[in-house]
Amino acid sequence: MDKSAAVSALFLKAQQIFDNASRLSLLSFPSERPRDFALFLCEVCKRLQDLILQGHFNEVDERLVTMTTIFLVDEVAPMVRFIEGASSDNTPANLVLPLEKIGEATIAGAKFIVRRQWHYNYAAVELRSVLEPPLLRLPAKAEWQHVLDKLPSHLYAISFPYLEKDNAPLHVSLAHEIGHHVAQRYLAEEDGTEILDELHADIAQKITTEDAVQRAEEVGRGVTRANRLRQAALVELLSDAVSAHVFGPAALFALYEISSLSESMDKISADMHPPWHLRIWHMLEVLHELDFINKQSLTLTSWPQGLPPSVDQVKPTIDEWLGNLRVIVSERKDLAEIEKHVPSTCAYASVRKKLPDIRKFAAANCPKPAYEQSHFREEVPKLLERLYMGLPPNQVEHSLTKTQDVRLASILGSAWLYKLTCLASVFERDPKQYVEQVHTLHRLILKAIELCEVKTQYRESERKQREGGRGVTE
Amino acid sequence: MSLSPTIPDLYRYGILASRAIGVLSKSRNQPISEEEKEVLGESQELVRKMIRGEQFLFGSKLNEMAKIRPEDVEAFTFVLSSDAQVKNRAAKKGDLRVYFEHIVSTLESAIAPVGPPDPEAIQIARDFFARFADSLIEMAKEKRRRAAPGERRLGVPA
Repeated sequence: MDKSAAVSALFLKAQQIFDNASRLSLLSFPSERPRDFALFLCEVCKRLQDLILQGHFNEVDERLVTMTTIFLVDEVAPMVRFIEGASSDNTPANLVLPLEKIGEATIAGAKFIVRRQWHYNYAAVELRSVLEPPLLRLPAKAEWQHVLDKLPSHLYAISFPYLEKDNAPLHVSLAHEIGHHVAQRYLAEEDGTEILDELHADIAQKITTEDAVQRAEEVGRGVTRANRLRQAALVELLSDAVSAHVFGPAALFALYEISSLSESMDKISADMHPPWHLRIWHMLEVLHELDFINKQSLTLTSWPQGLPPSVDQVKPTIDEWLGNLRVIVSERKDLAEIEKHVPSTCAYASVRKKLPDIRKFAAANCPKPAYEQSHFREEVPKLLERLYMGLPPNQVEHSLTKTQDVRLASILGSAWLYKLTCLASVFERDPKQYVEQVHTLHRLILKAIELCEVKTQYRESERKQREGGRGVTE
Repeated sequence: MSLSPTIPDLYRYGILASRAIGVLSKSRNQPISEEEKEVLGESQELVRKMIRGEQFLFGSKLNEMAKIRPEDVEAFTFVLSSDAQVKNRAAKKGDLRVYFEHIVSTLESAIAPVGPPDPEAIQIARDFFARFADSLIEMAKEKRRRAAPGERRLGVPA
């Protein structure tokens, strides 16, 4: 294709993205972020078209037109799906605002788009870091900077599997995705030179090739691969730790449910995620340190005495569920898988040394106040009682007039204990009953979260009114 | 261990290298704008990354080196794997380092000229960025060929 035809094709692609983003901006969303992002994409496309019309692409090398077109088609255009997937029809809207709040408490200046994806997994991508480096290298840098100023300092698209839209307890996993940002900060603070030296020394001694160039290439690829495996493992394990700080034992239950659908529990995945066995083992370590779970006996710690009969079946069921993890904890088949290749052996040797460090970092950087064992012990049994009565678990009632607010983590924690207890007896009954129980649970959980959110907003507006009133009087 | 060469910031460097070629292709009497000088400055930093990566993988005194980041090693490994000329020069001891440093100083004289430009030096630098940009375009196309699992056609193995 000659250059002017390629520039016209680029102009058309920008128009197509503009049309789609503009149309989707009219959908209904649970928060303002997706619409803001749709309008931002429209502006990116318009600015690119303006630059083309002003002749900025006339004198450039044709490779710039090719690269810009590929960037537009392969990176910018797919972002339109984040807008569509974030609409009120496609998200558990009651969960979006509280999750955004957790994220914003963790990452100063960050905003979130929670959206469904067809792929069965939870995922996070920071959109500014994808868009900014290429856009600022295009002609007219100052104008691009002006466009980018309209984006938050960090904008995360956090995805959940569409299939699980009506399975609120599983969305605990979204806290792990928020933890990715904390993990990236940890990596940025590391001494890259020291790590590379360590990996280089390890890998160079295991590569036997004699030809100097071939050897350098193999060592370079090995170090790169090991470094990426190392970083991916630290990011996942640290994000799991953040999730445990935010949601307590519910983080483990959600992690296990997702892992059970993976192709392998022992292997490093194709996208370099660490083996699920390692992640579950590490999550148990974190929950043990936080005093939620005893890792020796594999039981929930400090369950309150004298529970009502509707709830007393839950603890033995959950302890039995946790007991089944003993195989994972004791066998650790993942270790043999890791040792099969040189880069993974070196990467995970380095990861193991850092585990206490990343747990400390997660504790210091998770949203405050963190969820503690005492909150779980005080709130969860009472919320479970409400669930067994078919009531939303939104508060603890001490008397008709005295109620106590509860934490989001306790709501979701009680949901998990209820769900796992239902699941444990599923084969004794009609499986349809389990489906019905999970659907009812989902509705009760969303209602509880909505009621808590309404209460918070009401109190916030009351506080503002009081402060406003005082200001006028003064 | 079969790994395709990769580089972080594919689009950033792809766009940057393509623009550097355009600036280096300007005729002697066309002035270079401040923004274009910035493009050349950043391209210089990219080659410096490759120099640090080369020192890391070929040098023997690691502790005497400047701070090195993983992206330095990735950038050098990428260019070593994808550019046959770079590979040939790497086989001759010291030749590759001279080549990279020559490109850095060519870019320096384009940013702040002290005398008439050396057309041969500019051609060498331009050719290097052209091969680099072509490899990145190829890599971007390769990335597209490996379609996301969510987009996989039903019933067709990945």
